[in-house]
Amino acid sequence: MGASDQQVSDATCDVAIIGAGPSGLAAAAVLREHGVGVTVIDEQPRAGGQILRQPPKNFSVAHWLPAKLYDRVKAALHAVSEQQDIDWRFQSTVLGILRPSAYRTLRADASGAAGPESAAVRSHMERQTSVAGPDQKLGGGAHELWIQGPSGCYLLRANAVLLAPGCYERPLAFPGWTLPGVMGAGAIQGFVKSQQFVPGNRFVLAGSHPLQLVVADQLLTAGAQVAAVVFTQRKQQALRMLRHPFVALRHHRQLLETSHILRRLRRAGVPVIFGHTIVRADGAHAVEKATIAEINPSGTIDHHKTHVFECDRIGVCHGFLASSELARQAGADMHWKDHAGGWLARHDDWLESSIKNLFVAGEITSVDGADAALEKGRIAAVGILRSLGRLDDNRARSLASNARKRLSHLQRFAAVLQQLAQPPAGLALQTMSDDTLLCRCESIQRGELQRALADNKHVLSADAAKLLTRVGMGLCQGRLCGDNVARVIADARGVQPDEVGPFQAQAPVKPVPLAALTRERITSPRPRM
Amino acid sequence: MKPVNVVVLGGGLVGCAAAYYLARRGAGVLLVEQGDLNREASGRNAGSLHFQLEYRLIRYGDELAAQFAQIIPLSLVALEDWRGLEAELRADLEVGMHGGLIVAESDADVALLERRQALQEKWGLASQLLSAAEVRRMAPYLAESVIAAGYFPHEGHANPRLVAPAFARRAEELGVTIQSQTRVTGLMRDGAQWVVTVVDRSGRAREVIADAVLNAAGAWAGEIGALAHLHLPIFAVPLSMNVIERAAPLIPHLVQHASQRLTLKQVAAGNVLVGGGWPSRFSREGSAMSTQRRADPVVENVMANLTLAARLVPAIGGLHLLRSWTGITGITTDQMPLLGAVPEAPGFFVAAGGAAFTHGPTYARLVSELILEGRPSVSIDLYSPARFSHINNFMASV
Ligand SMILES: Cc1cc2nc3c(=O)[nH]c(=O)nc-3n(C[C@H](O)[C@H](O)[C@H](O)COP(=O)(O)OP(=O)(O)OC[C@H]3O[C@@H](n4cnc5c(N)ncnc54)[C@H](O)[C@@H]3O)c2cc1C
Ligand SMILES: Cc1cc2nc3c(=O)[nH]c(=O)nc-3n(C[C@H](O)[C@H](O)[C@H](O)COP(=O)(O)OP(=O)(O)OC[C@H]3O[C@@H](n4cnc5c(N)ncnc54)[C@H](O)[C@@H]3O)c2cc1C
Repeated sequence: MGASDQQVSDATCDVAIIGAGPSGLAAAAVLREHGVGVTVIDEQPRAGGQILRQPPKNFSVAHWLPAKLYDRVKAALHAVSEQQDIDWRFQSTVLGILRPSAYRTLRADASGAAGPESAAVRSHMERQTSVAGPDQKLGGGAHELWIQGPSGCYLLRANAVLLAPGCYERPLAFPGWTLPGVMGAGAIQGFVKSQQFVPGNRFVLAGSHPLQLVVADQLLTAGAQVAAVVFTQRKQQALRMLRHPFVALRHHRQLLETSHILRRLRRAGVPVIFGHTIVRADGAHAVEKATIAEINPSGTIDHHKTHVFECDRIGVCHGFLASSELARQAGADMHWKDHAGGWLARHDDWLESSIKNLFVAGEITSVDGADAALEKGRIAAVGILRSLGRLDDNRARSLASNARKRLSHLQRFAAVLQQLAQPPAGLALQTMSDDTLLCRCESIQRGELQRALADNKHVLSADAAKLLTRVGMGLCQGRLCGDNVARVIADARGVQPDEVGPFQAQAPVKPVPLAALTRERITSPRPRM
Repeated sequence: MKPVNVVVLGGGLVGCAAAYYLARRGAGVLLVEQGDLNREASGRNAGSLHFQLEYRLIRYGDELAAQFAQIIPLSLVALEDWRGLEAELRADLEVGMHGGLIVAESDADVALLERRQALQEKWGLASQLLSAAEVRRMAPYLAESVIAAGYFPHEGHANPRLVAPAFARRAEELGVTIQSQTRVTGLMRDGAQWVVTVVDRSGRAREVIADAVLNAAGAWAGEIGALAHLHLPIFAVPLSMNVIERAAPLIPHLVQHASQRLTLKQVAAGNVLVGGGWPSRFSREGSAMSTQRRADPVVENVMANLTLAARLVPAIGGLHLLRSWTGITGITTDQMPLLGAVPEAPGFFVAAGGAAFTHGPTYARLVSELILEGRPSVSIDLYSPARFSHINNFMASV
């Protein structure tokens, strides 16, 4: 190993879990019970992930998540959050999942030096070399995580990695969507949940996902005004969604309350409008008005049939996109499933991705909700134990069987919800006008991309379009525009968005301050091969 | 469609430019690219227009440096080509030729600059050696540690995002057929003609007959050579690049280091590009290094590259690294381009290797003159594949 190794290569751990959401926490509990060293990395300051959004430690909130909606997830959090034998690394962002150099591994083996590998891993490596079955995966097994922690960047080597990075809200681009005051409905909920703070006075919620009903209700309870809740679905379809048997499911138990919520909204005089979509936001410096338009039965927006609401906040709510950047950067096989979260990681029965010992759990495999994320975390943990040689196949199977049963039950209903909560096909293409900002980081309008596509007819991939126009080159790394860019290209070329592909993700997957990267100690750098 | 005289293999800068120059001279051209155009080295490079000798050419002692300096005559042609390119292609390529500085931080660096200066002079490239005070006046953004610099007033950069696509657009206007997402899988000589097998995105194979083929496959030129049962001594090497978030205009020059791997420039949008030949790493495919998958970044190298950049230009130290990427490029055993006809395989031409962002348009122009007129307007004998005839001597009898 070169001298530079010591400076950035921190240590080796057994299993690194990326994401302290329901999936990561459930996996940590299982792994810990089996005596495996666990390191949990999350960019947030505390555990809990998207759904719990714990208030900061020194910020006590009287009724943190009073509704009993999240008790399973909370239980998972309590089961591990105070465990000192877990190596918690908060405020730490994983910038990349890298393959340790095969060259270094070979050299360590040849010298016979006692490597940092545990006995379990050694036996695993033996298994690896002796069983070269047809299901051979890419990579040698170990991974190196490039981490930006509170005091700089370093590498952490892990014998196995569980990637559970969750999801984020699917953005919709429409004239005015970049005005201050246009937010994701879930982001609004985030404020209310974690800090009991209402970020605005008068809200319009618009979208296709039932989450917006819950948010509307929470806003009313917190004393805000809700000017309207707007569903893209027509009334019959929306009611079918809201009344579907999945309401009986713990997973979406909040929706058990939908009839109560609808009643409360009606009592408060909040119009719930069906068959409409947000088409523009206006305001001098921030949102002052929201315009919605009718969607006719064929699915096209009728821009002549509009309503305008005065408001200072718009919450849009069209479902979720999996945070796929690390999986893509690592080179895992991905597949595209529009209503299940866009680009998702392919995996086997044990939730192992196409890359050896890179496991995936939670929304990155399909946006199925928090309870499903818990079960996926458990299954993946058993898979990891099996892969590390800690459990034989039979034990692993029996250990995972309950989680599998619960998961398949949960996923059946999640699939129905995904179907029903899907925005109408082509909505994103209809709400964007020619001069709507498609990529807000680089200020690229939809029309600019379309003209570039017309002038350069060989551009097919999202990456080629990015290179040509700078679309997706900015600070958000295409998280916000990627989905819409793919739709615009697919539409221009007459193909499906998955043929256009996601933007290539590269490490670092998120911008890093140079100060966290540069080291004055490296004065005459020698490149490492 | 015109009958195809030339099939161009590879849709990077060299291939797109060659298609354009060939068509401008009236040839019927088919360009075949396995992915999208400009997605490999030509769209992933640093965009430096190198006319002075790069560090990689000077670092291996005087004897080799003297040999590698034979690139300079071509660089001087390239310089003139770049001056006219935006007008020729009717496109903004973000060409900025506002001077290049190769900075020295030690006496040893200065000595290296002096040797470089002497070689450049010998080949007719008029560079200057600036004192510390002169550097400070010209480039106040550079750190105090800089004590001298080699300066050439016409060096600079252009934007790799834009150049190959502009050539492709103009080529198509001239009637070139471009087939992207189409891979070359076979090359066979049949009498005086070449039979090129291409496979499109849907897996459909087709044969194209042409008078000549131009291998413009960059780092993969060796593989294309192999399809024709030839050895082309081109090695794929994995590099890395970094881009820093946008900043107000600060750095008009191309900045390099005398004795370390660094190129640094600010592009029109304000982003600062940092590179200089730091390796990334090929992923493995069995026992081989894979050139088909993206090379993996080497974090230590990314950090060292940025450390060096922030040391020389302290003002960027407060900014964010936006992204790093890797790219694969081809170099030959003697660092010179492989440019011209392969004598053992009549009708087989190659234009690959070297700093082919800087030299790509020139390779393309000269090789198309060679293909269509039998000789280029400027001699390229120094770079001819004939210098490897001793290898293909054993390959070419089929
Ligand atoms: C706004 C919003 C509201 C939602 N509301 C509900 C709801 O009411 N009911 C429901 O069932 N589901 C809801 N979901 C879906 C919800 O995210 C999941 O069901 C659940 O939280 C998924 O668990 P997870 O473990 O997959 O991911 P998450 O809980 O999202 O946890 C992922 C964690 O990974 C971390 N992370 C991601 N990338 C990195 C990185 N590069 N480096 C370090 N850390 C990283 C994140 O900080 C996060 O803490 C909501 C999602 C969002 C975005
Ligand atoms: C990170 C990096 C930084 C660099 N910086 C600079 C710089 O600052 N200045 C400079 O002058 N040079 C620089 N270079 C070198 C320069 O980028 C290359 O020399 C130049 O782009 C090569 O152009 P090309 O067209 O020959 O190759 P490429 O752009 O690589 O194009 C070759 C094409 O051939 C295609 N191909 C391969 N096999 C097949 C097949 N079987 N069928 C069909 N198509 C095929 C490939 O897909 C590819 O698109 C850099 C290179 C890298 C990687």
